Amino acid sequence: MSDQNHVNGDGADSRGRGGQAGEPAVRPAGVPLRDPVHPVSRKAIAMWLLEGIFWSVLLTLGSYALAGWVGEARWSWLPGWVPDNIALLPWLLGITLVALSVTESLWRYATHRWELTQDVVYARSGWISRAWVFVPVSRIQTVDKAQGWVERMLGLATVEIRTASHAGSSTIKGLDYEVAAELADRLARRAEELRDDAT
Amino acid sequence: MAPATPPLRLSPKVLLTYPLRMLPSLLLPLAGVLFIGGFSPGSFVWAAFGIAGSVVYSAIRWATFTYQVVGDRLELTRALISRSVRTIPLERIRGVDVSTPPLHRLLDIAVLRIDTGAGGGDKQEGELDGVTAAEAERLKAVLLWHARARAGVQARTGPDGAGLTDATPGGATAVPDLAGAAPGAGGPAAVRHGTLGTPGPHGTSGTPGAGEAAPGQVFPETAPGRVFLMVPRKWLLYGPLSGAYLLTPFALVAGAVGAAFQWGGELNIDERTVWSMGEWLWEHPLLLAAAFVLLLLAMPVVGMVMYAVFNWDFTLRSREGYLVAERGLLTRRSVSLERRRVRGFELVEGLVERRAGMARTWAIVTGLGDSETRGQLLPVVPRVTALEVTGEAAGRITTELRRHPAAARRRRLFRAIFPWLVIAACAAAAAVAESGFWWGLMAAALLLAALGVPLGLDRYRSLGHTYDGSHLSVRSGSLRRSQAVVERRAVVGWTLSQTWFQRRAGLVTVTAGVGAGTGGYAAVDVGEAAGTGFVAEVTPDWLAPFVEAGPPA
Repeated sequence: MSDQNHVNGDGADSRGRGGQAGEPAVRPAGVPLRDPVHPVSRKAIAMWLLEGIFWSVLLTLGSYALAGWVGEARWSWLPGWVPDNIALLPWLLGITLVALSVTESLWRYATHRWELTQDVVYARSGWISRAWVFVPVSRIQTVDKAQGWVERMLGLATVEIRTASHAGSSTIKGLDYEVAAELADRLARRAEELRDDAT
Repeated sequence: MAPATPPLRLSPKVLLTYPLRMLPSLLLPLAGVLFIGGFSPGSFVWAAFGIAGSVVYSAIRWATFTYQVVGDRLELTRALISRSVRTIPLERIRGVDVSTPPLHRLLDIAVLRIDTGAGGGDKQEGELDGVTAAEAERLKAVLLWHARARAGVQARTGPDGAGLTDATPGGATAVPDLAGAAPGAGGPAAVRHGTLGTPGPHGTSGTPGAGEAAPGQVFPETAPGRVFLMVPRKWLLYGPLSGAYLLTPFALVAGAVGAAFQWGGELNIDERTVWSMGEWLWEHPLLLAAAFVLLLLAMPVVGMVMYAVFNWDFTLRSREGYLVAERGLLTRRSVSLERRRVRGFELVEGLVERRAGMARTWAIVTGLGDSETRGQLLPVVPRVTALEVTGEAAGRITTELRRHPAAARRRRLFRAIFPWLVIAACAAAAAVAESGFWWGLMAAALLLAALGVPLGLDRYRSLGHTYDGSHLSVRSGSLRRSQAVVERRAVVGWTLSQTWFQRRAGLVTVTAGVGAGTGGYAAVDVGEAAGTGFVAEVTPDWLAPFVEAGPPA
């Protein structure tokens, strides 16, 4: 139960939000990593938008069916105003989801970036939540190039970089096909040169 | 390289075990046949026919199965209906388990399982069920000899320049993990990074005497069969602290009830009889309560017995480049882990265990399938012993854990309390709108929310990460606190992730990708600068080009 194992570091005793006490400038600093050099393809915005719209339509249709069901059934345990206004649900949901899809695709384009140095693949992804992945080329086991149907339509591709661990693996989506092909090729060749079997 | 051996069969003694093993699965059909036949002579003939058929089937199976080491591979040939050959390249063999279930032990035969690290279920692995004990030893030696020979061929030089890892000359017996694990010898790790902070009473930093306790530890391979620890029998008493097998009495009762229903049909017992019995019990709540209390009282006892049966005479030893863990009373199980593939260990403590100062450890091994049961290095033993023994066997960490920032505490508390508060609020709303029944739910949710306070605080206290120059370590969890210690060279990548809430709190979760164990070990809710600093500290070359100017923590 005790914490003799701890060294007191990282301003554990600082109080207040955002750590104004203790560590200077934590709040505005964010994660001190620079952006990876390359953005993904602009067409990726269209890809995320299409995917988002697809799910929005699906969910809206689902909610439409649900609204119809609830409106018909008029269960006694539901307060009266619910079935009266349930017809609004698909509209609200649809508008929200479409707005979210637009936001998401633009936001993702700003977040998703990648870079390959001599030894390390550095990729950032996500939108509301973010992830930074570092994969050393020497530990790469396989490099895959994949295309879903949306990507194929738009001439995009995904590069999947696998190591022995899921936490050390990276998937870079929304690259132009030529860029993806070149990256996969370079990675495969470089990985061959640097291969290290310590894992 | 291998002497060509003729195709070999399993020991014929195994024929005695087959019918007995099949008995449970045959019992029901046989009983069915007898019942349907109304116990007429004819039905007995049919039942006998069935038994004879299964015996003949096993005999044919035995006669048509052979195994053989051909060149650099092991071939398992089965020619029952169609001929199938499973080929296992010897170089892919990562470990060999020999286990002897009770019946096998009576007959002096054993089950040999070959682990190829394919990780794809049992299909990929080989099993020889029923070789004589002597043959098992011989075969194990042959198979592992190849694995070791390969270890010698593969001269590996890590680009990380971590000379402390695998610079052992005479590669055939490379023991990478011991270099950093010898405080007595003053491993490079200990020299490069001194111990930070004050060593706690049960700190990881090598209690005095840990080094002296094992004078032969630097070159353990010269003394094959060195025993790290044989768990004393009185420590079996600690078993139930881990919570293992505690629910066994309930499981047994549930199993009995299920069986009653299933067999009731078979045995022509009317289902209504069973139901009325249940109703009768329900009408006598005192009896039910008494039964429940009895079961509760049985929990530790039954738990201990089960634990003792599985962990009897748990022995951890090193033998020619392998860590061998043996345990079990009825089924004696022996797991060999190639030391070359051991990348660290995981120390697990439950809440009760922590109060009692107990812990369990698992090895983190690359390419080990089913590592939860097979990777276990130690059962419930005192924490100090666990650290000492595991440190010797699988490397140790020499620095103290660093705390995570206060914002992490808020997050732990929020996550432990808030969901229950939401449920309580919903229940309160429902109680007002509907019926008073919901107040009960609200009270329960509030109670859980209150319990969330100590839980959240403890979860925060558990958080920690550190790096000592050769091993990194992360810890998290409260009800099941787990600390992973992993060699640096095992890290194959990093993922830093940050949710929206974490960003507002200035925190980040740093996950070290490791090609062993669970695949990734996370330092949860580290400060942003400290998290990046941690990655930069462990693998400076990988991160340096990407860190923004500004002093990392």
